[in-house]
Amino acid sequence: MKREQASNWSLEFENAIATSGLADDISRCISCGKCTGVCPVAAISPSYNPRQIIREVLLGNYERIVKSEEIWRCFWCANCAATCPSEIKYPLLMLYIRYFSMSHGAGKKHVDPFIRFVTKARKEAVTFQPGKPARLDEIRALRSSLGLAPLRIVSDKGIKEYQKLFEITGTDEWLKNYQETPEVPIDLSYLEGRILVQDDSISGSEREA
Amino acid sequence: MEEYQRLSLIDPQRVAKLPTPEKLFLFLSCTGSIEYPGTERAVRIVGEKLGIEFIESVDQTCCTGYMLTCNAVNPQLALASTSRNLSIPQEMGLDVGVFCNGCYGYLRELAHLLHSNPAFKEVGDKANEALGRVKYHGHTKIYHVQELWYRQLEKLTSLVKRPLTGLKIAAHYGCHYLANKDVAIDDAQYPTFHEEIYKALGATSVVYKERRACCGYSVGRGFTHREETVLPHITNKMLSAAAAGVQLMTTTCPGCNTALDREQKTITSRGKHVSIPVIDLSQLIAFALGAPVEQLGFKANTTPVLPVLERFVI
Amino acid sequence: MLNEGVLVVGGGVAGMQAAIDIAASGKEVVLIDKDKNLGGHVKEYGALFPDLTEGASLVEQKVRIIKNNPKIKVLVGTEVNKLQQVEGALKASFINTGNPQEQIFSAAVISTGFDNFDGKKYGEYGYGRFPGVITGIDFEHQEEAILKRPVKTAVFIKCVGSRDRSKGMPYCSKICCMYTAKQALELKKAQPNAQVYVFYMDIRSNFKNGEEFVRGVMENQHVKYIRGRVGKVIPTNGRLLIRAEDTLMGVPIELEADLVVLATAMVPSQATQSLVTQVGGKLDNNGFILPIPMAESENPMSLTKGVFYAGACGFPCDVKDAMNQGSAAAAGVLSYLQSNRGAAK
Repeated sequence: MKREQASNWSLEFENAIATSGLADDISRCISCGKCTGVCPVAAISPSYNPRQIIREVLLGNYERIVKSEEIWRCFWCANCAATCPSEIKYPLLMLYIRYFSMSHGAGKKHVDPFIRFVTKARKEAVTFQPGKPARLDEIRALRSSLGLAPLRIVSDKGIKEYQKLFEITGTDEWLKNYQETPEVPIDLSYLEGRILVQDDSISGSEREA
Repeated sequence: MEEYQRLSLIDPQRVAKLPTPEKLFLFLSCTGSIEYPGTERAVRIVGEKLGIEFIESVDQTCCTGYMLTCNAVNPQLALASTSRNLSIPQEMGLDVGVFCNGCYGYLRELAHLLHSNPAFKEVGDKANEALGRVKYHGHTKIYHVQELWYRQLEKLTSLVKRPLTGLKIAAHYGCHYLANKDVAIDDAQYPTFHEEIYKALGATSVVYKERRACCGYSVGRGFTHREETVLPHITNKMLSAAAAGVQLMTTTCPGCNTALDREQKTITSRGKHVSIPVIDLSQLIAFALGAPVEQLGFKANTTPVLPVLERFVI
Repeated sequence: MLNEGVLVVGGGVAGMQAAIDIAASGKEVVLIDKDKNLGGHVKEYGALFPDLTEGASLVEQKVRIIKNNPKIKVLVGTEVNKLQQVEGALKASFINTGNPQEQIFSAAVISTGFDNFDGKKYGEYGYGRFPGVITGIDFEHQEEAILKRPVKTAVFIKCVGSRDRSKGMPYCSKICCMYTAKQALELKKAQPNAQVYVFYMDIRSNFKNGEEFVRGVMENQHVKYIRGRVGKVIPTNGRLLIRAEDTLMGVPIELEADLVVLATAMVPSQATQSLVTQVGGKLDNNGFILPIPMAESENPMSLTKGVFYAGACGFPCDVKDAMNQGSAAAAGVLSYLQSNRGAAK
């Protein structure tokens, strides 16, 4: 197997995180694995490993992070942050890693499904309002029966101000950029790993006995 | 459960510091308004019984946290809209009550970022200035309504009209409340204050293996990784609840409620039967306090709620 | 008037050793302890490193020497609430059996020891809540009963409160690696069929024969060491489900245990802080005694004029080290008294 070349590692990523102001100093990581031990995603797909992701960032193995499929799996449950002995806010780090990956044209397929929510929220200042008339009628009927407005109301003023925020915070431009950036095809090459027991029917206690 | 309650790690000092307000700004949740409008109604009912008047504003928009954490907008938009949204209660001189863990977590985290990072504060201030709004000063207090309910637990107990005797209830606390471990009123790793509320309502609390497990729906993985991770995760969680004999589950977040309630249909269709109604804690309290069932909006639930609750309706 | 009596605050092994060595040269010593008995934490410990002497028998031996030396006056159940520098001497106020007393001393040793980290601060491990979760200290206290109760699987969790800047202390408590290995060994000896796991981050066995001892536990007793800090303990089916990552394999793992032992940190004791600040000494960021720089003092244990310290009030240490420090502090006291008398004459 090809050895990883330390000369390929770059501090660009770690520095970018440090200046982002989003994630705390991740060099505090002591690689204890508590995060991975409580991670619901790692429990299902062990190739996603928060501790290892932090190590990749710290070592500067940035190729692998940017192209990684794994970084898109995090549920953002923050179990890791709640238990971390080094006070690393991993979910915020993950948020930043994903932005970083996107800035290299990767991961678009994991963001695309939400762009329609944003487009709609920009119009209504509310997220998730369904488009299908039948579903809307259902909601209207239920809300009315509870003595609530048929649909959640945001004033015209509120909507206008919300839309203005898209302009002044550069979100419109950001979205345009995002849509114009072509997706970089990811050439996935997993490292050979450990063979895992796949059969769920053998529970731990049965194996023990 | 009894013995865990006895050894509860709830911080009485933090609870005592919570207010018993007469008036509070109610921060509306998009998911709540659309998926489970009964929650919003229940929050008002419980508030009314406890003497809390909720003021809302039609100028309030989405908290924008969901879109931020799906990486579908830039962070500046979320910071600016938090700053803007929080300037509304600030002008009214009110603290904020939230009934969605998502809104709660995002408002708190983003308010913290605004407060602690001058560059982020400038983003918020500039936005409010451009809109002709006051600058958000960062001191508005943000509470999850469940904390305020727990603060007045004694009063709640005295108001119970439908004791939920024999009903086996289990909690799903939701990660984005507990993630605020430095302000949450209970131990973030093994909270028990919902169980105390069940007890006050006359019900029996049940502990299940995966009670601290996430709902799987946060940051949109339900759209991108549904088959791969979300469904196996929810299946595992709900099956562990079913194995423990849970008859009803409560949440404090419409997002969690959507995941745990709606996905049961899928789990069952895949051959693993599970049917545990999932409702909001405020809905449960409102029900026990005697609110008319038709006002609680249980029709919105995918897994039918009434079969487990109707025996308490006289 | 020169009073040559020496005060020793804290009658654990460090304080007892200091008292013994000072009194051996003929000086009067008052040894004060807030507890009812001498011996501090160690009197409740089982086998100690490096030679597996029983804690109780070590304390018995020291107590015997102290009792046989009329120069040492022992005041147990007594708390020193004031210690002040007064005209080149030290004035101590203490309450003994309800009576407030004051006495002038010419030198003092502070050996106020440490407290055990409260395991309840880790909600994820359920100490005090889930039956079967105990601390390493509980293990020492109830060793006989614990070794008798049959277990199929036992799990030791190291660094509970140590090396944790979020809920605990940032430092390494130094002794937990050794006593955990010892407890695992004792469990294996009592119950050879039990499966024993130790979750660790690093193995810090920097004591004489320490490395060999830990290797022996792995090689001869087949205790499994897993590198990773346990994420969560979940009570389930009457047992304790452990979730962690085997960080060497990069794999999340899960196992069920009947006994979980938390190696809790050694934290500064409350008593240390007020005494040290009263005599003009300083504490470090964690609340342990801040030593004066090595090149600025004649004795490694000196704190301020006439005041020395010994043992875990300075920093977590093992029993042997605590006694070494007690002896060093005694040497400091004696040479201080000698030079002070010279100056007085």
